[in-house]
Amino acid sequence: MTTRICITSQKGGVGKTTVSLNLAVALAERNRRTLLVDLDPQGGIGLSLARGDTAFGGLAELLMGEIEPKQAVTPTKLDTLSMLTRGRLDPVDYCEYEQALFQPGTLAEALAGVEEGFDYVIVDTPAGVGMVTRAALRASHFALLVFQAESLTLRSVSQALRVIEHVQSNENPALQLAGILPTMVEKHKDNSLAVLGDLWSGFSGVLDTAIPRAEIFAEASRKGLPVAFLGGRPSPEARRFDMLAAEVENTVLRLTKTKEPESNEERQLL
Amino acid sequence: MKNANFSESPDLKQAAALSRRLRPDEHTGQSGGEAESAPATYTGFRATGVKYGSRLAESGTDIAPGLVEPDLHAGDYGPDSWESLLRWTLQLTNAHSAFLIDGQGLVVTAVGELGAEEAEAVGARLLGALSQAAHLPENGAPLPTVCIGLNGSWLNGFSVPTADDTTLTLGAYGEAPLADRLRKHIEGALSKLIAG
Repeated sequence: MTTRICITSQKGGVGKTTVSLNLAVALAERNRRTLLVDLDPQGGIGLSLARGDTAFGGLAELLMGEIEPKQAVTPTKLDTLSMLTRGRLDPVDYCEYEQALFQPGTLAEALAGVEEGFDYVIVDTPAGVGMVTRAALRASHFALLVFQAESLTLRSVSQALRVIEHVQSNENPALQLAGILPTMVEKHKDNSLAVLGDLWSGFSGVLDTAIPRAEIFAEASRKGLPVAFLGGRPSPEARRFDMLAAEVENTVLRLTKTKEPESNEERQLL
Repeated sequence: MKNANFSESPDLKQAAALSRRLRPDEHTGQSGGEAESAPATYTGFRATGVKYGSRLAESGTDIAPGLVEPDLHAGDYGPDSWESLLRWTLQLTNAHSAFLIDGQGLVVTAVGELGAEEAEAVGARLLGALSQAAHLPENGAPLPTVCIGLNGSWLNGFSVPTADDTTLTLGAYGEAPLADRLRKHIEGALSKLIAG
């Protein structure tokens, strides 16, 4: 079975696309067949990796029926990682794209057509809890909430949690919170640590892995690479994403088991 | 460095309570009792219940009033300002092309994206529709405005009588039907121009 994980945040600029890309790479490097899906109308994944905004066909063309599902998926040099990018969406058509995705069933059906053979689908979403994010939550098994360790994010985190709970209660009972991932953590800054303190002391589901604010992410972005693909010795940040992949996998496994109803049937040993 | 005010915020307590409901498998030290019972203070919002914008929606236009309203009055157009009138029409209606057709059915001036031949073809469609629509109003009623869906856009137009008992027809081809209130402004400017 394919597990869909929606990477989301109510606030922009918190590192959703960085987390989506590097988590997908880390899962793929753990030999999990992973599909990275870019739902952001701005096409953050494509912008991160490609030379041009229209380098890859993808979801836009798939939704318009211009290409077959297999053509929509772009392979990478990692055998276990493929991408479904936003496609060559005209910026003037963002509204129509968002409305199309928001139609019930559209995204789930599109994903079902491309995800066969994958263990994980990592869905990158735009900032906020608007139509595209809502569509992604409806179609996902898990939500991973990216949380920038600063006061404004803490003040607004209830918005995203409320939407996740609403979708779980009313639209997608299969949805579970995989965790809250602190990002851009600055351990030498009191404010960042105070926010983390509030998070760890008061919230449930906060992941042990935290992603620090580091120059290497800017360097990776400039070069259009995941951090694990930068040359030289493996960086601590790349290692963080390997830890994140392990923690996410363990959490998904645990929560999936928790949700399965217990069987009352006796088992046969011999 | 902790913000004392925010650490007591109901938003923070509500967020913490939400996280506990979503992940009951992981319990932290703090009790969520107060937040669990705090009522949500959000306003329920439904697009169908919105009180504003219905007048514009009915009239088929969706313009930013602050940008367009100051230009509603065309001012004094001289006899050589047909093109200025059409450019003003483009600005007012968000159309991508506008043209004028004389009483002989010929396009006399066109501005915007349509080429001369395209303007003739689109103009012919407009005249055909107007001639059919002219049978609809009762005697004495103003000539109608027609809005035709054409190639994914809207072809709008209306005719104004001239002194020599013919008509001058203005067409606007764009993304929205022509609102009645905009027609009145354009028609007024056109009539003024015809009168010289």
